[in-house]
Amino acid sequence: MIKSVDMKKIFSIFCFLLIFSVLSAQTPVQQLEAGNHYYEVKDYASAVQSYNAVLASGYCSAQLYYNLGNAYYRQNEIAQSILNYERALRITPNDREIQENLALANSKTQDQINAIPQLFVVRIWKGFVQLFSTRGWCIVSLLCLLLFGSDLLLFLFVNQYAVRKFTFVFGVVLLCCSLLTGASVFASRHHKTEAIVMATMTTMKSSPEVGSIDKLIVHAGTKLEVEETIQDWHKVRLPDGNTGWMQTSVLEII
Amino acid sequence: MKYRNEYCIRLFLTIAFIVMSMVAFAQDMTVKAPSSVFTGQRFHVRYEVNDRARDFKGPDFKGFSVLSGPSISNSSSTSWINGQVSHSVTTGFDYIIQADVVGSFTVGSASCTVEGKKVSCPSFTIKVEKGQPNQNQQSQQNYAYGRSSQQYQQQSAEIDGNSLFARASISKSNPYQGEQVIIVYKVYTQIPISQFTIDKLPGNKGFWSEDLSENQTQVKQYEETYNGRQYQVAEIRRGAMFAQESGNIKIEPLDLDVLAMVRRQPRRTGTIWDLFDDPFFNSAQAVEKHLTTNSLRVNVKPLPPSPEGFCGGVGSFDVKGSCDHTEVKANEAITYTVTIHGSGNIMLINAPSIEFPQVFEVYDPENEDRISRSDNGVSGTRTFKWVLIPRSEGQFEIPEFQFAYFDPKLGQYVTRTIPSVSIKVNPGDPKAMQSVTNKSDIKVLNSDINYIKTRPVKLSTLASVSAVPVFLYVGLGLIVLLWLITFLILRHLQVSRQDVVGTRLRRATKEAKKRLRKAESYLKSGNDERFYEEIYRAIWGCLADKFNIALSRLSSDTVQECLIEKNVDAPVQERILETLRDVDFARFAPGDKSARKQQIYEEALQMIASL
Repeated sequence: MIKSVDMKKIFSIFCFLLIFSVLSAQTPVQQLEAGNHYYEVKDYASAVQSYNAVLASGYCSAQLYYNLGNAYYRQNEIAQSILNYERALRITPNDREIQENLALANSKTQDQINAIPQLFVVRIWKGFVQLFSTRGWCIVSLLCLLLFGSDLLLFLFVNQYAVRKFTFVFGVVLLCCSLLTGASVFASRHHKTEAIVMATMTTMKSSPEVGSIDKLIVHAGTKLEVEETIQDWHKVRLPDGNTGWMQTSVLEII
Repeated sequence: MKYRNEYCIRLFLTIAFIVMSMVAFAQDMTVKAPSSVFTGQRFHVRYEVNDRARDFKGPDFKGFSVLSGPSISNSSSTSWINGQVSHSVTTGFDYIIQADVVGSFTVGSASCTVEGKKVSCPSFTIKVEKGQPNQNQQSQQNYAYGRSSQQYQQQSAEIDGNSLFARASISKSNPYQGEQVIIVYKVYTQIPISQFTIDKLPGNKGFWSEDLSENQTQVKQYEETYNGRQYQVAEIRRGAMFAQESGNIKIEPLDLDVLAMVRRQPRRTGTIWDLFDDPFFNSAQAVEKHLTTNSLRVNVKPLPPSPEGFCGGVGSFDVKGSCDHTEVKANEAITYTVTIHGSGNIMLINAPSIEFPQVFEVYDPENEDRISRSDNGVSGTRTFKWVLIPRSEGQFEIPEFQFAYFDPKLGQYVTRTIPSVSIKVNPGDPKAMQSVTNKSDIKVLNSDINYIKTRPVKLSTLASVSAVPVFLYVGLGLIVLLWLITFLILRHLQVSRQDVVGTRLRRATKEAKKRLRKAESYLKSGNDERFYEEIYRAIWGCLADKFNIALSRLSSDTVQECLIEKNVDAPVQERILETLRDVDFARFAPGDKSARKQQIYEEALQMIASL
């Protein structure tokens, strides 16, 4: 008897909360749509606010980051727009619109850095991995596995020689594919720790102290790789290989 | 008090009288005469009064012979300048005097009456020096034609170095470096000269020189006394020199050739040809003489350490700075002009260095000169023009800057400050702005960002976005599971297909039942033969399958054997055998079969069921 009463109570409370949460605040989806609406009427400041509110409530998507990047770009906050485009690209690296916008935003930054070219194989691999998002790779790899499984069954239970030969070869190929796509799933998820310079102009120092020698000047919007972090200093590396230390306050990690 | 007043009045009157008497002598008399002459030389002494004069009383020329005089001449002139008419009258009294004896003689004062007042001229001294012996033989006829007797000093073909020479003089022999000094080359002569040609110009080592006598059409001539002698001077070259280095510099002499007209000594042959020797007929001989000026030594003082803004100017200058526009659009050009005006080494002045704001693109300055050269030297204007193009908008200031020059008269630097100029730069045309970027890569300049994505609207949690999706593992598990199941099933199927005996056994009952059903249909349709056939087959087939007896060995005995083997109960055995016999019997024996058919059918059924 007591048990059922408790149950009822819990249930009613739960229902109440559910209804309440639905009625009170805007859902993140609604906020996102509100942000889009603000963008359409060119109220970019409000759009930025709405998008950031969605992020604050713990939700995100490639679309959200992309739209936020656009809104910042319109407000001429190039560094912020680059940051958000990069975040969007990490989710869907194969999105052409995001890539184009990022390229345009990068052209507006002040630093032109001659990046060290990567090894040919590395570049090929990176390009391959960027063909799909992580989800995409998951689907592809599961499909591959499925195909491989059916092929194996055929191989085991069909006695005709021709069929066996074919299925054997095909099976090997499919196995490789499955392994490759499986690796891609994890490769697409793994990113180097990178950051964008937020301060208009700042220096890279030779050691993590305020008074140390300035090595280089970097401007807003430049992408750097963060190698190490000690207290409130990041050890950063520029695409051209130069390393130095910068304070965490001037950078924002992608 | 009274005494005081009287005294003042008296003083005043005395002063007034003195002044008036001085004023009264405003009309004065001047005398023109050489200060030194040679013995035997004839010269003029001329008294002039600037008004109508009468009763001239001349001096007694003690020690001189008065050849003629006084001759009175009057001249009057009227001039009308700026609407004002002025009238002047001059009266002159001329004497022609010849000096005979060496010495120094005082010529007494002369006087005349002008408008009732007496005007006098003070006495003066003439020094007589020993002249050339030839001079004494000058004939009277020279004079008769009114030529200035001073010019005819020589009669021999030889020209004395003291009567014809060239000299170089410099306005200042210790100038500052860069200071303008005038150098003049003059020919001093006491005999007529017809022409001169410059043979060798002095080199300009260590100097920047400007020729001031370039534009002169006529050679300047005047009289000058040098070393106590009267000469006719011709200025053959005048230049402005600016020393470029300090120290002791020697200016080389100038060489020139002159053609002097020398009076030939008349040869008195006593014939009629003497008439032709007369100076009336041109009997001057042209003699070429090579002259060399003296070299000059100049001690150039170095300039003291220069202050900021010194551009090399030495002299006296004015500076002005101006801008043609003070309001302009971005990327449009404006001109900033600095004008330097004055005298000195104006053409050697460098452009002042001005720190234009970074926003301006500055082009090297152009300079324009307007220099005038006169007898006093070089002066003029030098203009520097900078073209400036502002590259962004805003309010900017061309800062004030200093211009310093050295004034040799003051012996120090003078600094002038040119005030700053404010320039307002308005936003430029957008078309013009596009060409300016900070990066050299302008590939994507004219495109804009893509529009936002409005669909699909989907969100996921921050954590899930960066992690490997769960469905991968789920899917993976599912696939593996599915595969295993399929595999097992297939294997089982395969195995059981291979097991013939087992298959036969499994299918035995099914087969029998199938046959019985067929038999039933025959029974119903009344097909006896067929019925019995099917029953027969069903029973024997079932037995064979169940006991795995080959069809060829099928008989009652073998069945019996199997039954015993299988330990089937005795009554069951009996029944089976009986059913078999009945079926055989029914099949082949005649008689009424219909009643027995149903019975047989049921028996068969029972038997198969019990197997």
